[in-house]
Amino acid sequence: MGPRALRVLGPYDAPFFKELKCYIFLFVLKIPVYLRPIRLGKEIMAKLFIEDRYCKGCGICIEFCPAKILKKSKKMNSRGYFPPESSEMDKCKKCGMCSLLCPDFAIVVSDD
Amino acid sequence: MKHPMMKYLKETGPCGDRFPTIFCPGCGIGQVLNYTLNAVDHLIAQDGIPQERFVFVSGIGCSARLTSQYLKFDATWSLHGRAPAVATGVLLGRPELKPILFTGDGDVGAIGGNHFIHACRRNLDLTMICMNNGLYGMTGGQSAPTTPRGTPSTTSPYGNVENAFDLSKLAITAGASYVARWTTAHPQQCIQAIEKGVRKKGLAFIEIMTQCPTHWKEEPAKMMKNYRTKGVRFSKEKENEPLKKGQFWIGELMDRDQPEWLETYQKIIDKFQK
Repeated sequence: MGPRALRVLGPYDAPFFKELKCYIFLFVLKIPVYLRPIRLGKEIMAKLFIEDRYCKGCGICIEFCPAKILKKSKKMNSRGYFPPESSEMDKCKKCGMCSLLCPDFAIVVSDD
Repeated sequence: MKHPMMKYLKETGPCGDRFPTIFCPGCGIGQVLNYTLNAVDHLIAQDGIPQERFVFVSGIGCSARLTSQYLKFDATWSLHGRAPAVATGVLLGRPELKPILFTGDGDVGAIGGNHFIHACRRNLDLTMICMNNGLYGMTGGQSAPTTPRGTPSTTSPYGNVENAFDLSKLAITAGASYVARWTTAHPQQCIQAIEKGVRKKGLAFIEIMTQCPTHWKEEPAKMMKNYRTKGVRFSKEKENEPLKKGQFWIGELMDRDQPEWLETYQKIIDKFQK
């Protein structure tokens, strides 16, 4: 007994043709697929704002980021903790999980 | 750019900066504050409840630090375990207010046990948020009524010999209208539960399992992932199934319509004023 309908959510960093191959595979197997809407135009890259003084370096945002793009920085802040940083913000999906889970209101992802 | 919830928080006070918060790194109480403010933000935007209608009441403990120290709302920092009693006074004095209580497990399960069960019994229109970390965090990690059996703590180095208290079950038995239990690893569910609790007539008890990385001596993110795997989604059919050791029910444990205290009392007043 297989699933009658599958909702295919693209992996966060899968290239386009890889996703297309997945759709063709499901089409051959006659499994109905709901395609996610394709966004036209270039997306604005999100910016990461970190309040350096507020961060306590607990690492919750690093562990719970769905795109896994945050990592601990090597630079210490004024309180002796290591705040997160990201070098690949083009992969950010702006889900806002980091700012929702932050206990110290230190991290925000925004367009501007 | 600042955090969107920073508009509800006091950044500076008469004695200097209030941020960063007083909590340990990775403490779940800050997260619960974040979820509560998100829920309150939705309520202000969707239901049109003005900001002055919300009153925050707390007792004593780590969790009680949230109210008067950080919030721009009206707040009371009351006695240990007496947050339901103070909130009862607030509600009876001005029934249009919406009190939200920040309580801890030592607050609600130990010293304030009777206040808690009688607030549930009267079914007052309160929203209680209980941060359950399973020990007394502020005083140094002693075993609390909610510490699971067999878990070592400062006062029970060879494992706790007592049975743990299930606060949500206690609230259901005492007669609360809405009871839900989530963990800090379920942000959206917590926000929805708090929103529903404020909208619900009658007492809403929302127990949130929070991590205490200092006294459980674990990484905060690891503890949150543990909570996520240990929580079993509750449904009416599975109610009598036994749980494995360390597991607990999460979800909406009770949602029922019961006569609320103020409404019932108003009916009696109306009867004699006719």
